[in-house]
Amino acid sequence: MSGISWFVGKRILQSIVTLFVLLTLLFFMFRILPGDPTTMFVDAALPVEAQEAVLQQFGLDKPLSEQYWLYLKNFVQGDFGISFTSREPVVEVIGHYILPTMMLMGFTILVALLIGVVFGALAAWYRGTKFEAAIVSVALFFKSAPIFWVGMVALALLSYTLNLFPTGGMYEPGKESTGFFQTYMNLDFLHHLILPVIVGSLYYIANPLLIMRSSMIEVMEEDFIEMNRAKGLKESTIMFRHAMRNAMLPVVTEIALLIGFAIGGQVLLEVVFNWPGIGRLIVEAIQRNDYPVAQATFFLMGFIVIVLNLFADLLYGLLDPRVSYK
Amino acid sequence: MNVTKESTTEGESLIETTAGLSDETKVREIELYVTTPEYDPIRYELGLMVSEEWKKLGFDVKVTPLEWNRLSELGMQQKDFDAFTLAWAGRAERIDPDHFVYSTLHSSQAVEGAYNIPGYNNPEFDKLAELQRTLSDPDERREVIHQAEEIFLEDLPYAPIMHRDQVMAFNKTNFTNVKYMLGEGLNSFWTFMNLEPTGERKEVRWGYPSDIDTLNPLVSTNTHDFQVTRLMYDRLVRISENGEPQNWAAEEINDVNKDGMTYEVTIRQGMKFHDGEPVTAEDVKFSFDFVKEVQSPFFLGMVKPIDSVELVDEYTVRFNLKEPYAPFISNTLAQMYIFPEHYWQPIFDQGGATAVLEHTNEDIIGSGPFKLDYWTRDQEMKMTRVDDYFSPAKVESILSIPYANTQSMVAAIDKGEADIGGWWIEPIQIDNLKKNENIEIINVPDPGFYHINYNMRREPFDDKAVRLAMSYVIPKQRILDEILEGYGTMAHSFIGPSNEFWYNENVGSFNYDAEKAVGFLKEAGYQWDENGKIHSPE
Repeated sequence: MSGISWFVGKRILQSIVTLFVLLTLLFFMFRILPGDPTTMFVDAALPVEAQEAVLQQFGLDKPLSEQYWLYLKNFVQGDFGISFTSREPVVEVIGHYILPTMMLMGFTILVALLIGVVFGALAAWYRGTKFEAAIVSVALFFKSAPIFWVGMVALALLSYTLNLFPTGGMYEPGKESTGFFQTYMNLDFLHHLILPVIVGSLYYIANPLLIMRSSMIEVMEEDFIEMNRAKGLKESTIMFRHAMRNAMLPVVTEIALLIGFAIGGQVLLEVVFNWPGIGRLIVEAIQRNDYPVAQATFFLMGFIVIVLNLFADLLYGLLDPRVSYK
Repeated sequence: MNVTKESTTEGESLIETTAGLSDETKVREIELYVTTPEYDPIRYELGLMVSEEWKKLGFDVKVTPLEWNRLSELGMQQKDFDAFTLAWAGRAERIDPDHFVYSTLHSSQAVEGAYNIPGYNNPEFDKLAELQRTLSDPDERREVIHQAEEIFLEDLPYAPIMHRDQVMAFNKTNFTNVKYMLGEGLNSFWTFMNLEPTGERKEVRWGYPSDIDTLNPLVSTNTHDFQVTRLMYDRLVRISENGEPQNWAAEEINDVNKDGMTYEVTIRQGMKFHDGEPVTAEDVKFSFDFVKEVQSPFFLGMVKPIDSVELVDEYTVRFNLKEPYAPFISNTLAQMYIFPEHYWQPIFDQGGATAVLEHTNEDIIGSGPFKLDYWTRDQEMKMTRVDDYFSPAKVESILSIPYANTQSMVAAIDKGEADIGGWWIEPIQIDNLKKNENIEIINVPDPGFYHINYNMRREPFDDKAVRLAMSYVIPKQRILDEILEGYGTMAHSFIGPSNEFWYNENVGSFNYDAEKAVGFLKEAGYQWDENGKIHSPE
């Protein structure tokens, strides 16, 4: 068997084992947390009979081992169960929230990556100058500042005071946005998207920027850069054409991670900008002990990180011929 | 009111210490559970203030903030606690005192999962709590409730502290005639029935800091779900703006034998479901039988007193109760929805109770004053007025907008994006909103109350003297002034002054009185050692 297929097979097997461990952890993690779904019935002061009826309807009156077995069995059949709060199939519940999150986080990550990679490269290129110090400080500032704080300042300034952007949501109220095109394919949506994307990308810029910077510094010490200079190539050509391309590799792994987390949404960003995304769904599911929704959303996040990591590993070989599989 | 009176160290000076007390008699450390400050700053702060006063009586007190899930597991379900702070929310259906006098205090309710949290068990009180359920004459019943309150105040299984006013905000730019209601504030059914548009926009926008869980009331357990679905489903009886049950879909209700055992209900003629089918007595009977059949969590407790429902004619049903149940009209008939049989029966026939409970009901068919236009989860919901309803609303439609939290909701009201705010606003937000002249802040006294539960199953709370002493050092006025900033009233019993019919003007009271508190303890034989720590009687 050739090295490459052995490697791919091994990595896929590893990923499957990791997924199984993740599934098991998720099952027990949420059940160990205090309370059960009936904890939330106190508000309406539901009688004991009602609490018992609900536990039975959710199958929570069965022994834990039986619940676990059912959970695995249903999972293999692609069934994540019914949400305890809305009683809708979990897949459909996630369906309501995934698109807004993908829109918000997709643009956020894209902007963060573009700016991060370019400015990371520039920072390395102008190493030791005030310019580099400024870029790195600004990126680190937004990474360390709480995202809800940045969001609130941006809202106070740009929405409330200057009235440039709406205060939140995905569209103006009362627009009857029930379809995909009505909701996303228009200027109103874009107008609502800009501010949260700016705030979100400011937060995420630091990761690709710093990785790009250090990788670029390494690359710039390589002989072929000297070689290019000796050939008399323009500085900008050396930087963009030769150095940056070679320094991009570690950023690929970072992209996999960023996308994985992005699927989970940015809870604080979604809360501040009243964005109907999956982050808010996750928090609510945990607070209210909605086990099936909590399990499925966490699994989705984990699944994407694991799969994208696998891809990143495989992609490495294609992008960098020096990487060999044994 | 002299506020400083409640912050003295009088308690300490009143204590006489005794030398040579054995360590064995020292009262153990007690733990007061509170919510985390993030969940409810009021309960957290209140717990800290009260514990300071308890310490002055010589008790070792530890205040432990817990996540709501943990708190409700320990306190509500397992009853594994010393003392904890809780707030019963006021609701239209809690204007009837049955929830407080029976569910929170009758000894049968002291089991796991039920709501007699302190484990109160006084046969004399139990008798009154049972008796009031059998009296259909409200005046007689009120008399019994007042007697029960007296016993309660002697025993204080829990210590009522205050009623927090429902402070809500309303933007009056586009609408007028806002009606709010005891226990419901601006979310009241009557708000939406009475609001009148004054400008171009005939659609009222209702902001709330979360969305509903589901449109299927058979599985809803969340208060907000019912605040929304009750606009689309009808009830036989609705609680009026002044808190009294008022016939709604029911035209007439007769206590046939005047013994509170059999009720005959005649429904209004000519009512229609949103799909055009007529509402009949059969639908009413179906609804009551159906919720039992499918074990619907919210409605299950309400139909429990019913033995059977019979059809009398096309517009009349007869309810035979198992035993007299006084809150039957104000709690059961005023909360039950009329479900269309022709809609739900086929779902049940096909997939049984499971199919009914997992039905998303996105084409919700009721007979209420509004019908659903569309709902996009966590984005918005539109309900349109039913024009040929027997008492049509004045607004054309309601746009319900879920916000991520109270702050965004308040901001939306301030900006005029939403007209009605369906949630309490904090004192700091009140001052801000007051600067906007289009905003009206409403302030409704709440029949719900904050209180501290004592676990009477364990010492030292099994001793009445300890409960009384601890209750008499709760600095109620200071809590009102400092934590609620004046937006509330003191509570002494489980029925507050805002609940006019049921309130007892001569109800006893307990206010901060350190001298009296120490007196209770001394009389019961408690002693204090040289360090001022309290010891149990020998």
